[in-house]
Amino acid sequence: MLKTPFHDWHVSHGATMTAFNGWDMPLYYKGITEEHLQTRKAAGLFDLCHMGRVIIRGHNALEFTDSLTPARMRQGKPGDVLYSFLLNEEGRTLDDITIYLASDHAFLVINAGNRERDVEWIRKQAESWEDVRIDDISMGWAMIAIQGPASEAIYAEIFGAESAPKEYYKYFVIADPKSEENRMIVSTTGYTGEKGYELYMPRDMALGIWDKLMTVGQPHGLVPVGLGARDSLRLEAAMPLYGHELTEETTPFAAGLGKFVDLEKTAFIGREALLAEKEKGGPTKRLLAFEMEKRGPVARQGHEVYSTEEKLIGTVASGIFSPTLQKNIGTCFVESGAASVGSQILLDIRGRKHPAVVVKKPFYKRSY
Amino acid sequence: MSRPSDARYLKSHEWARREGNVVVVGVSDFAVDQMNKEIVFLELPAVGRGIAAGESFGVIESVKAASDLYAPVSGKIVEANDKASESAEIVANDPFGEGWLIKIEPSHPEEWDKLLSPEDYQKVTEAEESH
Repeated sequence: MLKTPFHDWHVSHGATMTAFNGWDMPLYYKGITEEHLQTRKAAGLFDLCHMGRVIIRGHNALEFTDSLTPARMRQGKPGDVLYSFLLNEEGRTLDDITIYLASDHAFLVINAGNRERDVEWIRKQAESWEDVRIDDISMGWAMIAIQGPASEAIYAEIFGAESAPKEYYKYFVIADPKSEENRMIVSTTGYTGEKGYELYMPRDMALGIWDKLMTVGQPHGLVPVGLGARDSLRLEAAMPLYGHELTEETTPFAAGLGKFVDLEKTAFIGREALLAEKEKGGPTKRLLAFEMEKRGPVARQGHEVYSTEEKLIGTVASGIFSPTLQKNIGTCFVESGAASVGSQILLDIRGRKHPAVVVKKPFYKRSY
Repeated sequence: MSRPSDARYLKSHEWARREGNVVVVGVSDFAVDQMNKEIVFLELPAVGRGIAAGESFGVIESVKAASDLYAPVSGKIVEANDKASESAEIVANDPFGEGWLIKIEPSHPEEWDKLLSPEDYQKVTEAEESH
């Protein structure tokens, strides 16, 4: 099992560990609900070293990345972070990714569970390109997220406010004048619905930065957060999780993420299939969000969705008891046109149908 | 938490205790700890229903997953703990006391002897913990 540089720290701080895509990761320390609410109220610190990190270099690096993904690269400039996808020729989603644009290279962050397949896929696509180099730096680099209303103050106290971007989805590189190797990337990105940062640094620098964040952060209410609350936080913010809202069977349009696809680009993998889908009137299934008014069982991935006339119309993609809303919430793929915001639907949980209502995404929006 | 010595157990972490002519059923401290005491939903059966030993009588749901609850003995369900299904924290905080789940009027009293003793159940939990 792979271990992150914070592994011993997690264990010595009482984390319940879990196997996740080949990594031994913290599921929770004190408890999922407590860590979730503390991230909303103050701040949470996340070990994200399991995520894949890939650099695309070479003279044609940016042109290649543009053809590899449906990202709006033309509007992008160095210092921008773009949310995007790896698609197959059918326009179906192999992964969702972030692209850190530099003037001469692109840095991609990919999901842990897809890392090997993604890297192989990217390398295969690059075969027909001159002067494109793919470096998987996942093992040599670490990744930490600090998220929540107090994260700005904690970050500023350590690194200085001016060392991080102000705008959402931007990044800075903090260089150490004494060492070429000691660099840190800081981006205003996250997966919780809160303000915060994601930090990248060489693996041997990582524990020092983690300790510093914890020490400075504690008086601000910072707590370490495991993968359990990472999932509930992202779902309240209606952010997709690969394998749930995005799969190899669905397109980004089905997941309601069409705004991240630049169909005006002349060429990218999956473009023709997406245009064909659009011409036919769009995806046959669409992702909807639901809430259950009554306290009852939690609808989970794979549970069937019915119309009030008891016609099977879809399946649940994700479901949790929301710590913030104190009710059961979730997402589901439903036949296009079968339900919309305000519709009543029925969720079949272990043989019994429970009422739910389709609601607008997200479930939770920060108020600052 | 110390486990009551007069209780018997199932490998699936339910406990049973004789009280007069009924068998009281609940989940063990081990089950509750496995859910990190974060129980989000508890579904208990209707009173009056018959149940067979090993049959599911309800569902307990943690933040991460739902688990079936199994009857230790056969018989008729004569009581369900409504307080527990209304606020599952009772089960998390006092699984052997206030957090009991159902009472069964047993139809096959000899089934009691097939249940795990506290010592045997201790071995089951130790084996699971060492995984």
